[in-house]
Amino acid sequence: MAVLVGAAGIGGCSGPVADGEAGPPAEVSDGFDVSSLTWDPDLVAANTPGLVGWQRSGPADPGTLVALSPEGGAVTPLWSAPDAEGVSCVPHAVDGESRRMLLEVLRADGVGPAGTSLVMLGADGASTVLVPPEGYEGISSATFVGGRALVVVNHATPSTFDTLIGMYSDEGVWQEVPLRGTVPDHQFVEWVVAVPGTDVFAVLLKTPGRTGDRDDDALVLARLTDGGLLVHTDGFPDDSLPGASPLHGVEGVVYPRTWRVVDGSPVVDLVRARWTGTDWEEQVVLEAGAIASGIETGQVSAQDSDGVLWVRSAAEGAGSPVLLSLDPAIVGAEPMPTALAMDSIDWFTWVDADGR
Amino acid sequence: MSTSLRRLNRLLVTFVLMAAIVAGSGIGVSAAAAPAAPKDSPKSAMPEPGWPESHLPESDPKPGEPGYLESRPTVVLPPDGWNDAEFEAHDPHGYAAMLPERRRVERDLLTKVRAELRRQGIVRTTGGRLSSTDAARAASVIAATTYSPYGYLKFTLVPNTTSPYARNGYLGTLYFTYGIYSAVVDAYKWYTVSWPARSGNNRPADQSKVNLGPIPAYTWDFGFMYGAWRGYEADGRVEFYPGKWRLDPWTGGPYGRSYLEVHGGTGAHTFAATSGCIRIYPAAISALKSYYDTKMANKKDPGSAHLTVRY
Repeated sequence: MAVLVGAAGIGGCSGPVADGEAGPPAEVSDGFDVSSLTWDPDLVAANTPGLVGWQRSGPADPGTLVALSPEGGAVTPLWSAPDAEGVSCVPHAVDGESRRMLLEVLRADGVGPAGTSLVMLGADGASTVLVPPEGYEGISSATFVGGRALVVVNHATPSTFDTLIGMYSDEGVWQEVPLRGTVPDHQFVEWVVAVPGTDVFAVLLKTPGRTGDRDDDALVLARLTDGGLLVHTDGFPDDSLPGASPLHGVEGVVYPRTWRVVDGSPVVDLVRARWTGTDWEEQVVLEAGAIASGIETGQVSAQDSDGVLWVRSAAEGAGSPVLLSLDPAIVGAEPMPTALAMDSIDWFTWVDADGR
Repeated sequence: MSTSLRRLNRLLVTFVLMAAIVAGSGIGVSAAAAPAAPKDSPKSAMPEPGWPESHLPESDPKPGEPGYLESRPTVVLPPDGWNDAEFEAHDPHGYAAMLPERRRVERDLLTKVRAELRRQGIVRTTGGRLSSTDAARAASVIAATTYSPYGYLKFTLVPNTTSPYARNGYLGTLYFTYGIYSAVVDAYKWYTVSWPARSGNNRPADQSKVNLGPIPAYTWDFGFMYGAWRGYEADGRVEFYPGKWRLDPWTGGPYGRSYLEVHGGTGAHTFAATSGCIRIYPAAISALKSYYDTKMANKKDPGSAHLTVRY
């Protein structure tokens, strides 16, 4: 309980709060202890390599980590979020090699801002609460590097939004990881995510954009070097990049481009951006596809270790969205529907096998 | 819920909504000055999974369910917002844009307030003063009306490339303005609070584009649905946390826009893009609720509980 109160007190608000406005809940009163969370990493190991997702079957469902089987449409529960009033969970990353998961636990009292705790569920089945540095109350992103958490935290006021990148030691101690090298002019860091199968990180920067479609966000790639993230690419600009997910074994990302309009109606293109070593290579792998934009769902695509893209379809009429498979190596390939219904899956990712 | 049941549910929801549109056409369209909705709406984009189902009342978490949040009354009065001098100093463009509408609102309110006081036999002396007894009576009379504190909201998108909250070259701001009438001086004193906000792709030129552009310029009824008051609705889902206000017309708004709300969102949805709803930070939702609860006597009056959107 002491850990929870501490986490809520430090990280208890999720947005700009002016002096005198409602602050975070002063104390936690319902008895739920975030540090008591446990899980069974063997279940994840037994179901990976494979797609893993976060399922909520309805507003009453606190959420379940599930293994997804596109071929048969099966959904296998791996871990269920606690069924506690006002508690919801948002997964950030699952690491098959270190047998760990990073989870954001949100605590709502319906009055004040949500209390936020970042929790690492470990290989021993127990959880560790990762306390953000003082003055930073929000979690922008969390990813794994060598089994450790690399996190972007934020502090918001009505006129400013500050972010900080850092890594937690095995003892849970925060250490700042600054961006180094030639970094595009930016206002803050949107997120950082590890690109699986490589040693690089995709870093999304919020840039001071104008009314164009490619000036609000820029993607750079970086390597963890001497305690910092050393940027080794130019900035790749696109306003749709907040919906990007990393490629697998390739330095780059895939994302739904949502700003193109045809005959007065918006269309969604699936775009792949790869760093060739000297330049960015941009490819529209699916043009005006019947795929989700991600604006309401938040997650559209993921790539597996064979290079296959798994994509959330658009809903048609009263039908459910399904998972599509698309091989970007085949020119002109059409996405193939699978048996996996996606209307209850919020987030999904490819998880490589247990490395042991 | 199985897929087939979910499909059936959607069909039923669609049927009920269509029936409601037919039955309630015209209900909920607010100010007479509001622009008429164009008859020919552009073709909408491929529907986003979860939209609009997640916004329908049928999807709201129910009492006793883990996603349910009880809406609790505000027990601590929020601090006063900026007075006009402070508002002008902090946000001169926002203040200047607010004034013309404010003057119209104030003129109308003063007419109503004075008529009500006259009707109650409260009359000023030739010097315009009230006796202390009449001043106390006047305060009591006004407290029973919707005229004070009188609140309304405004959403704007103004060109901006420097704020971290700007997207697509526009900074969104949600204002809540409230006026408190003083019978002693026969005038309103106004206060304003504001928060960073965003809507759709934040680009006013795209307001006609369903599922893409921001909420259309219009006068929306705040906290209403099909003409019925719903007020603030707590919602523990990450897409909405900690809650929302629906906007009327709930369906059939300008350019065929429907199911629009002012809501929060946490986790990956914190200040994230929307299909057109106005999104503000969770802390701002909580703050706005405290003003809505305590500084908006007219909140249940669809003729004045407005959110005006002007670009």
